[in-house]
This record gives sequence, structure tokens and C-alpha cells, in this order.
Amino acid sequence: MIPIRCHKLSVAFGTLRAVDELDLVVEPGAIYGLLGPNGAGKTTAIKSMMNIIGRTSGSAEIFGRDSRQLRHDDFTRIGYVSENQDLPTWMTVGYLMRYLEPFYPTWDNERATQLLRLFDLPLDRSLRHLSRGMLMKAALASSLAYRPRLLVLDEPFSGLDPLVREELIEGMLETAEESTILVSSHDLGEIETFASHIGYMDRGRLVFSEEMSVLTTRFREVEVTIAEPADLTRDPRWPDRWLRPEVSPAVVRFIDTAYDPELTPAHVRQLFRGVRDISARPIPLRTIFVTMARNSREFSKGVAA
Amino acid sequence: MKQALHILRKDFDYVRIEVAIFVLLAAAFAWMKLHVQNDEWSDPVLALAAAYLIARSVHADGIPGDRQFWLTRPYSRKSLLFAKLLFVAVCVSLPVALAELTVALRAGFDLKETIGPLLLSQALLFVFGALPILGLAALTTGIIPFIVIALALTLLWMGGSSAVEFWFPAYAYSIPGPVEWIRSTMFSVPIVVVTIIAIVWQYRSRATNSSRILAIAGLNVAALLFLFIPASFALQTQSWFSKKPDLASGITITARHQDRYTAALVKFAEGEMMEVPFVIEVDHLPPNVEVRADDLVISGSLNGLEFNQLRQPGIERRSQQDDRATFEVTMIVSPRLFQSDGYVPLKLKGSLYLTLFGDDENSLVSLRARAAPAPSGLRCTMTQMTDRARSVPPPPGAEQEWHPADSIVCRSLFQWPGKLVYAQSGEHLADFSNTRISYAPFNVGFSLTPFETRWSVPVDSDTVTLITRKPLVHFRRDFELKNVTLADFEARR
Repeated sequence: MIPIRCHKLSVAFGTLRAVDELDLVVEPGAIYGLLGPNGAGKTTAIKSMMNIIGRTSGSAEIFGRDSRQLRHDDFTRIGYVSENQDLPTWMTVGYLMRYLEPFYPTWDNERATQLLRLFDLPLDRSLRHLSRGMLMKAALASSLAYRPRLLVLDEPFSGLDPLVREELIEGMLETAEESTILVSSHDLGEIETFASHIGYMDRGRLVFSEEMSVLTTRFREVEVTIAEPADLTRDPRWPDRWLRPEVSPAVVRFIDTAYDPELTPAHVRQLFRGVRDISARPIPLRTIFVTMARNSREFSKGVAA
Repeated sequence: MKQALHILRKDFDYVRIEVAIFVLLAAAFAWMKLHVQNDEWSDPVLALAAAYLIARSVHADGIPGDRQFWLTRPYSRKSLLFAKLLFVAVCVSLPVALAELTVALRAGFDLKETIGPLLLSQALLFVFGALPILGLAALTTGIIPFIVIALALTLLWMGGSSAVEFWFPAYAYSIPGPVEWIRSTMFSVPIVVVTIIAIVWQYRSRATNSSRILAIAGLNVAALLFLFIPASFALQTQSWFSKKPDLASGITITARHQDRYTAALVKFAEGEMMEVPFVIEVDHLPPNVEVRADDLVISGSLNGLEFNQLRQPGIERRSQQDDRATFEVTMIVSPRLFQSDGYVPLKLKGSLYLTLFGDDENSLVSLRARAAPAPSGLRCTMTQMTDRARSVPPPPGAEQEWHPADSIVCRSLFQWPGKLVYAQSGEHLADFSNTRISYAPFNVGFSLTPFETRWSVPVDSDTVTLITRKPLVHFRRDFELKNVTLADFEARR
């Protein structure tokens, strides 16, 4: 059963299409990192998938069930942690865990204790007296203790210090073997370390969605050393998939979003005269994200102009 | 059920301080009812505290919004709603019921006779009071919006009522008191129906916008019904509740001029108006009944054209002897009619709505007891009303003498019975504001106070016969009065 499948999912608020015909599939066992700039529609899409908000058109299914039909027993196998969630802050950590336990048939007290220890959460402290990081840890602990089959994390790391992030990731990865995880985040460095799949959303649409290994192979920073200085970035032959070009008298650098070890050098040689050297190196996820975000912004400006 | 109890326990933990305060307020309410005579504060304070408590429990797992943690937890919506209803029953209704029970028992009522009306009263308060509050809380995102909207609705209601009283007085006072319960029911039922639909809809689908639209529509329908239900509809409806409809079959009425043709010029807020009196005789009354007029509708025409009456006509029973009762009617018309069309024959058509009372229950009651049992579940006692109530006409040259006067105080559980109540002492018959009774088929009203108290006029004896008289039949009779010429009336100031 596919944990998450969205087909042309759209969510509009008045005239604003926050999510626009989103097609997204999260395979079982995947750790899917959903990336995108602020306002891309990640949180809205996730809320619609979790039936927290409605949708305008399209479909979203969780384990094959229409998200609008999600019943309370479906949520016994779904964990959802979000920075946008209001926890009952009058409860203590211990009360929260005790309160939630009867809701879940698979609640594992031993695991709950382990998680509380791992996250160093004081049982008798009320949630309102916890820092943001501690709150996220409490929310995650209360969502991992029943070993959910699907864990959805919406911006869990934003604004947290590195130590807390590490602890959260460690806790999350402990369930990775038995769960499918969807995590939306700006924290690209962290996502890169554990995501098996990456999706990139922008202006409500999924720009790409691929396995991490394919993605890092596809995106390459290409450096071309040339004998004759030439600025061909405005040449109509300059391919759309070559982004963020940097031109100096002897060197042209760009990011190829569809790198092919044979086709890309051939294409470079067609475009430039006197090519002395072509090198291509993998780039970190952060650079991919920044490239895509900037390109999208420039595209928007162009459309607006 | 298990989950509902689990959520209820959580809610109780969440608002335990507020619940404790509410229980204290309920205890204070009971104390005030027993010890403070004209207590006006305990009812609204307790009602406001109850509303606050209900809203807090609902908002603990609020419905509108997208940030509540429970939305992605395995909450059964049915259990959640059931938990909130249970909370109202346990933390709000139960303390109030216990307070009311204490008051009723201390006021001299028996446990056995109190339980039934108490449960019915709690059911009414739950359905017509707590549910709309729960509905409003389920449509709001927090306690502040809840308070703001509740205040706005209260102000709208008060402002609307004042506006209607000012601009449409005919609508505001159109329904006679005894059948007011029909208008209240017509007002309350749409609200409750809409509330139940909105609550179920909210808890099932979280369709906040649709539910809000539904709630506003329901309120508007209720307000329109309240304002524009005609008295004739309420009175006609009341007639369906007649216990002995055949009793009225032979009764006839006739309208005639007063013996003395005197019309009084009276000052009203709207200006000077003419009170034109005439008489209605009700004949062929069956034996052992008392007839009372509930309402009178008159339309008049001059030269075939209808003229407006400026106010509702007054009607008062002058006498009832053998099989005839005579009512004095005061029609109020503009003085200009006298000047312009005084000699033109006037034709009056009208409908008189009457109720026959009978099936008396009598009981000799010694009023020396603290709460002597009387018919219809009343508890009566004697209380000194004033020490300067009655003067004895002094002999010539002597000073006026004042005597203390005792009055009978009777209490009825929750609501005064829908019957005429008299206290007879020798030839003297004291009345307990019998014009203010309700013909409602249920003997409890929408009130927190567990009893209604009424006083009679002073009586001499401390042993009286308490008489109650049931409404037996509600009916209408039409009449016509032709060839009235206003110029025949002697206008007097």
C-alpha cells in the first residue's frame, strides 16, 4: 500500500492557489524530504494530506484511503509533528504521554521511556515551560512511541540548535526501518544526511521528485575552461537546464540540472570554441535548493516584467 | 464510550479550578435563593459562569482552525462530542441540579415531588441553554472570540428588542402572556434544531463556515418567528390543548353599548386618545366555571373603510353571575375621528379569545406552618407584609388607625402552576396575580430558580381555603357591533 499518493492536488484560498495540481508519491520505506522556499505550499499540501484542511480539487490518499475519509483509527498508524501545531501546553510531558497512550493500540511504554530518555525530557515539566526545541522533542516522542507506519514532519528543525536537531533526527531515524517518513524542511544540510528521496516544491507545484542518488547525479557543477573569452549566456542556444552561469575571461561555470557524462561535454563543445577542459563535480543539496529557488525567483521576475 | 470518558477526565483536569469555582458559585446560588429575598444576581452570575465553563471545555479540543494537536490524533469525533456533552452534564448541570434540589428541599418541597420537575428543568436548561452555548463554542476559535460574539448577540438581541418595542409596539406586545410560551417555543425550537445540526456537522466534518452560515440563518428565522407570530396563531394553537373542548359549545357572545355613553380623553405617550367603552356579554356558561378573556381583536370600518386603532383594546371582566359574564371593553381611537366622522355609523367586528376554568381543587391550609402543603404542589405560609397596611376608618375626631397586615406567600416548584389560584377566607377571595399565569403544558420554565413565589393581597385569617382552578377550554367567539356613532358618546377628560 502506497503511504502517500497525491494526484493533481490543489488547495486554493480565494484566488491564491497555495497548492497547484501537486502530483506526489511517497513509496513505502522512503524518507522523503519535501523542500521548497517559503510560501511554496509544502505545509498546505501536508495539511491537506492529513485532512487538517480541505482541498479544492484533485486527490490525496494515505495508505490508499482518501485523505478526507481518514478516520480516527487511521491516525493510530500516522504520526504528525509540525512546528505549526498547538500542543496542550497545560499538560506536563508525563501527562501528555499518559494521556495519549490509551489512544494507540501499538503504544510501547518501553519505547516511550527510551525516547524520553533520549530526548532528555523532564516528565514533570509542563509543556508551556519547555523551549521550542524541547516542545518539538516532546511532540516527536509522543508520535514515535506507538511506532507509526507513516511519520509526517512539517518543518521540525527550523529554528532549533544543532544539538536538538541531531537528537530529533536520531529519534526519527530509529523508526526509519519500520516507517515511511515525509519531512518538509529548510534544513537542507540535515535532510541530505538521511533523505532517500527529495521533492522540490515551488509556487504550489512539485518541480521535481526523485531519489537522492539520482538527484545528486543529475545536478552537477560544470566548469569549462576556454581559450577565447565568450559570454554565451544570452545566446538562444544556451540550454534552459544550465543554471546560475558565472563567466570570467577564461572560465565559464554553470549548474547542469540534467547532467549526462557524454551529452553535456558534447553540448559544451558545440557551444564554445576552443574548449580546453571540462570538469563536472557533484554539488550539495543546499546548492541545488538555492539554484532552483533563485532560478524560480528570476523566472517569476521575468514573467512579471 | 471509553475514549469519551478518557477525554472527559482530561477536560476535567484542564479546567478543575474553574469547575471548583463553579461548584462554589452553585453553592452561593443556593444560599442566596434561600436567604436573599430579591436576589437578582445569582442567576446571571451562575449562567455566565456555566457558559464560560462550557466554552473552555469545548475549546480544549477546538473545532475551527488547523493547529489543534488532536486533529491528527486518533480521536473519534463521536467520542469527542460525547465527552463534551458529558462534561456539561457532570460539571455544569449536576452542580446546578444539586443546588436547586437543596433550595427546593429547604423551601419545604419533598424529594419525591421535586425530582420530576428538577429533571425536566435540567433537560430544558441543557437543550435550550447549554446546547446553544456549546454550539457557539464549537463555531469559535477561542474564549475571546466566544465572549465577543456572545456579547454581540446579547447586544443585538437587546438592541433589536428595544428597536421593535419602539418602532413596532404592535408586534412587541402582541402575544397575550398566558400563550407567550408558544412564541418562546417557536423561537427556541429553530435555534435548538439549528444548534444540533451545526454541532453534529462541526464534530463530524469540521465544516465551520457552512455551520456558521447555518447558525446565522437559524437565528434569523427564530427572530422573525418571534417578532411576527400573530397572536391569533398562538391562541388558535392553544385551543388545541383544551382539555374539555365540548364545554364551550353552547357559549355565545354579544357586544353592546355601555349604559352610559361616556368616552374618556386619555393622555398616552403618543398623545391624547379617546377611550371608547362598550360591553361584551358571554352567555350560556356551564355551571362551576370561571371565564377569563385572553385577548380581544377588533377591527372597525367607517363608510366601508377600515380605520386603525391606535392601541390594543383593553378588556376587563366586570362580573360573572349564573350563566353570564360581562366584560368591559375599551377601544382606543383617535380624537380626530370624533371631530371628522362622529356622526357616521361605525361598524365594529371583533374576536374574543376566552378560557374557561374549573375542576376546582380545594384544601384547608393552616398558614402557621413554615411551608404548608396546598393543592397543585404549592407551599404556602403567612408573612407580615407591612405594619401600616390597612386603616380602619376612625370615628369622627379620632386619629387614623393602622394595623399590620399579613399576606399569604405561596411557592411553586420551578414555575407557578398554569391555574388560577385563590385563597378564600370567609367571603374574602384573595388572588395570586392570576392574570400572569401560563397555559404551557409543562410545569417548568427556562429558569435557574427552582421555585416561583407569589404573594396574595392581605387576608385576615391564618387558616384559609386554597383553591386552584384548571384551564379547561380555550376558544374564540366573534361578534359584530353595528351603528355605533361616536357623537353619541360624551367625551370627558
